[in-house]
Amino acid sequence: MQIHIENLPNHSILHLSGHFTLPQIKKLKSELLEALLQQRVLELDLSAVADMDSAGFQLLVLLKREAKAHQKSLRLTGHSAAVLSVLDSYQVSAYFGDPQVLPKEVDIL
Amino acid sequence: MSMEQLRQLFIMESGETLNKMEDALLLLENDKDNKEALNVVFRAVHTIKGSAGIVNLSEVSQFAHGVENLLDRVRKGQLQFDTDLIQLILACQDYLQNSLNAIADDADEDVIASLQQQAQKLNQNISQYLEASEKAQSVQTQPSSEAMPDNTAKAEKIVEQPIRKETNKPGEDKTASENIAVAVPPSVQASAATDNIVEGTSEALSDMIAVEDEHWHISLRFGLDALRNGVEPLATLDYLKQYGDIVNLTTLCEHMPLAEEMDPENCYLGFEIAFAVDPTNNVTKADIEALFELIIDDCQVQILPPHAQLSQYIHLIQELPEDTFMLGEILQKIGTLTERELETGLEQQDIKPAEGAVKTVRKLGEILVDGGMVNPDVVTAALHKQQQIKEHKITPESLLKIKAEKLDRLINQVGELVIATARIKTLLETSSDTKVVDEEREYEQQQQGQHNALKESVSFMSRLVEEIRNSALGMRMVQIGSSFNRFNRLVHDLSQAQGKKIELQIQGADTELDKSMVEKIHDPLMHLVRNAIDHGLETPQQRLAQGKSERGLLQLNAYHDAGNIVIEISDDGQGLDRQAIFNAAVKKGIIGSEQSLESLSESFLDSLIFEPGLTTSSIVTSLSGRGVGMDVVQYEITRLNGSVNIKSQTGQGTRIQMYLPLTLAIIDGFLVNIGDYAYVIPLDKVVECAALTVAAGEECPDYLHLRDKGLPLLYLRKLFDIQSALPERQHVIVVRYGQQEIGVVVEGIQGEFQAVIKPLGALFNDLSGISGATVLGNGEVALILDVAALIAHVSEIKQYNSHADVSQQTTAMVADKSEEYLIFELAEQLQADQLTHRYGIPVRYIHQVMGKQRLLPAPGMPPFISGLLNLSDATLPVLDLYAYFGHETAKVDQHNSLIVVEVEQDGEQVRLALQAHHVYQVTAFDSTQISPATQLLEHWSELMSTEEGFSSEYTLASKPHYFIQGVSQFKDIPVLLLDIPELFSRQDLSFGLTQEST
Repeated sequence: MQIHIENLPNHSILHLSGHFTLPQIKKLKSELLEALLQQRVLELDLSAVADMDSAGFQLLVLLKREAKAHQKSLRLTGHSAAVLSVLDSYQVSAYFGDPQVLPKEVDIL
Repeated sequence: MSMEQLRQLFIMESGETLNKMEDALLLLENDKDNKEALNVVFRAVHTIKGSAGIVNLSEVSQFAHGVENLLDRVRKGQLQFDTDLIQLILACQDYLQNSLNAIADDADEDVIASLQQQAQKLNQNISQYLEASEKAQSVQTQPSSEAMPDNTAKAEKIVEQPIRKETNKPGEDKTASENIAVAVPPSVQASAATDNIVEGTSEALSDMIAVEDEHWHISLRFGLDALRNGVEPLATLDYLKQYGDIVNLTTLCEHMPLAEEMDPENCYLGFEIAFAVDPTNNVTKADIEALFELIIDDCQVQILPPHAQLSQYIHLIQELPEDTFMLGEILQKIGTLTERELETGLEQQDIKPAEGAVKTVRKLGEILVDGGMVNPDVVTAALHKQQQIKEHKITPESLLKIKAEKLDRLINQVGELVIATARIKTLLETSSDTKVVDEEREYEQQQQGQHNALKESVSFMSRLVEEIRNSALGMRMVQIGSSFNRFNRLVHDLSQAQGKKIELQIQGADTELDKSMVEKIHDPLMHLVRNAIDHGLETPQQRLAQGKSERGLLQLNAYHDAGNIVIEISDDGQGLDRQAIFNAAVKKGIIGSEQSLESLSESFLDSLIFEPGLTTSSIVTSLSGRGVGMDVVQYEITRLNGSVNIKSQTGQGTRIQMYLPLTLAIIDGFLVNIGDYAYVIPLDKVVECAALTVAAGEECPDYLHLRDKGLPLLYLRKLFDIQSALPERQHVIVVRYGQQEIGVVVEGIQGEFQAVIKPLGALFNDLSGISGATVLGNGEVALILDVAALIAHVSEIKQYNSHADVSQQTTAMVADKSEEYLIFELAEQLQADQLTHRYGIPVRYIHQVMGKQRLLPAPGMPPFISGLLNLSDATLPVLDLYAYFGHETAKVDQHNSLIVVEVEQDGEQVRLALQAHHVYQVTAFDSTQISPATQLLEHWSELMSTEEGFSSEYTLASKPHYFIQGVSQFKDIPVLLLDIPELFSRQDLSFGLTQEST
């Protein structure tokens, strides 16, 4: 699992790659939370996530909730097949920033 | 509630359910696309299946399950209703009814064995249908479930906080609209329903509201250590998908703590899943539970079957850790519960959303609207539909079942209350009369004021009592409709069997009559309906040939008429064959052979079918009209104090009317009097009143000319032999029963009166013309006149040749020439073959009858004088007639009575006491019933002369028959009627006769 942080003027993009699963989850949790705290607008690029399980999913939910609680914006982009499969299974894709349901303005709140 | 009680409740309710099912099936037969009726049938079978499971009647439950599968196919359009299929389902309905009856009656093994055979046969038929439909289905390609995934995608959403949808929210997903099309879907598992009971809902069976959704509902909560233990929720869902469709799913992670405390290796996930399995697989709750067996240590699973009771869902919601309101919304969103169901459920539990919840609701609501997920029309339609179904289901709750005897007791008590009130009223009126006299003093005025106030209260109270009376009586009244509807099936079956096309029309189904009456008329009614179909209505070919419509019409009608209820059965068949009736009647000797068919009225001929003799088989074969067992019908109706009327027109049809009383314990009466005697005429029989003036010395007329009609008059004074001064003015009360009217002549009219009918004792059983007694306000007794009997009496006297009213009221009215006799037994019957010594004394000679008395010994008296009886005003010799007739002295025991007879001799009253072993009763013999004594003479003299112990000193004259006036029969035993004046004139007795002391 690797996290590459790309800082842009208005927001940061975190490029995740590799496994997003239980064995790595503790490490992931601290790193991602920290990244979230530092940025107002954060984008998670999931295009390179090879594998994701329920633990990974939970972490995404946590991040999303923290972002909301702290009035920050968290966007998930470039979902890999592995990520999509999980979100589909849990029937939660709408929750994670489907623009049709949650337009940007609403999301930024 | 014990299992036994539950069972009884189940059997009772199932009876009603099955009746509804039958009605719906018959409806379906004519209208095979009737969705509503199909749903009723389905619901009925479904309910029985579930309920039977609860009360451990697994056989019934299993059978119902099979029927339900069959019906489900029909509902899904995989099977088409045809006549055969409806017949099969009707047969299944019969089987269910029979099984329930067998259970209720504790039927023996034979019955159960035959039921099992029946069930097997039916099950075979059902499987044939199922197989046939399966083949048909495999040809079709597009199973409806494929449409699901599309819809479900729209509903995806994680819910983090308590949410609540707004009413006009968009996008109930399409599952909702599917629910509408199919109001009642398949399989409740009995086991699930059992849970409900065990969990202690005190609701009655009918109380349970099943939710509409046809999916299994699974609530899944993973334990914190699930992930660490290698349980992957994603895998679980995948596993689940192998066994069915996850129609809808909501992921929950409410329990994930704040970021700092959140352990990412913990599992905080939970799911609410709507799960669909192929209903034909007979998946049970246990099967689904088994899917979670491997991970059961790491998760909590709760499974509710399709259409589980709403209360179960509410229970589930409360048990789950999440916020009640939010869960409710989730269940609603995934289509498990409808909004209405949720509201109902939460209202029941009195759960209100938390303050904070309402705010967040808005947010989600907006999101949903943006998402365009809910179509408001769909929601409205769904709600409307569900409201209807709910109303239908809730009706039984407003009914209360109580024992009939409790009601009877209440009515009795109300009756007493009515009497008591009437008494108070009378007392008050009497006392007010005296008050008016002293009006001068202030004190009296004050009293007067109080008196008026009291009067007011009493009149208020009596009004209330009257209302209570009416409601109490109303409770016993039921609508006849349910009884009528039972004939739907009979008509259906018979018309099938006979190849006739018959339409049953029911009118006046809401006519109310006494419950016991409804039950009692069912058999006669059934008989008449059967007859109408068997004999009255023709086959379609015959009907067409006669220019009638192919379909025969049978009508059942009920309505009220002058205090009676009239039940009519009419058909448009061929009518009665009068020639055949005539021939049969002549053959039976009912009509003299000198009569011709033309000389007799049609109505008379028609009425002959009620003659018992005319129901023989020879008639039925030659007679194309009615005939079988009609006498039984008449008997039953007469027993209910009703009458039967028949009208028939050849080729046009037949109508039979049954007039029945409303059998009330209290009647509105019309109080009249003759002299000092009060009588009550049932008010509903009274048509009008008229004055009758008879000039002194003029004969009382037999008829009154009333508006160009001759009205026969009946003088109560004559009828009851009342000797009092005849008033100048008399009144005619015109009464009516059935089609006949007569005038009852009375001397005073007191007005309306609420009479509580008190039955007369067994002693008065033979009394005709009186139907009962009542107590008046002043405590006196008034007799209630039996108008039907009075009219019958008049008809008899006037020798009415019209047989319009075929009521067989046998009038034992005192005819002119008859005389009443007191029947008694002179001595004990010692041997069975010995003739009893039964004698009769004309009542007019009887002074009094006394029980056993202490007699003074009478020394020097002949042996036939037992002693002397000391009365207050005289001492009488007691004659032992038995000894007097030459037998040994009669034995004295506790039955012995003394009959004091009295005759006028030479202008003086002379009395004598007769010793009797047993006094029976007073009965009337008319002259035709008495044979002259002469026929007995020889035998009698012979008997006397051979008797031993005959005192030569007091030898009977050689003509003992002199004081035997004649012989008659009482209860098939000869009775010797004593000629009392002759007895008194006997020389050997004359010494003992005591003259009236002055």
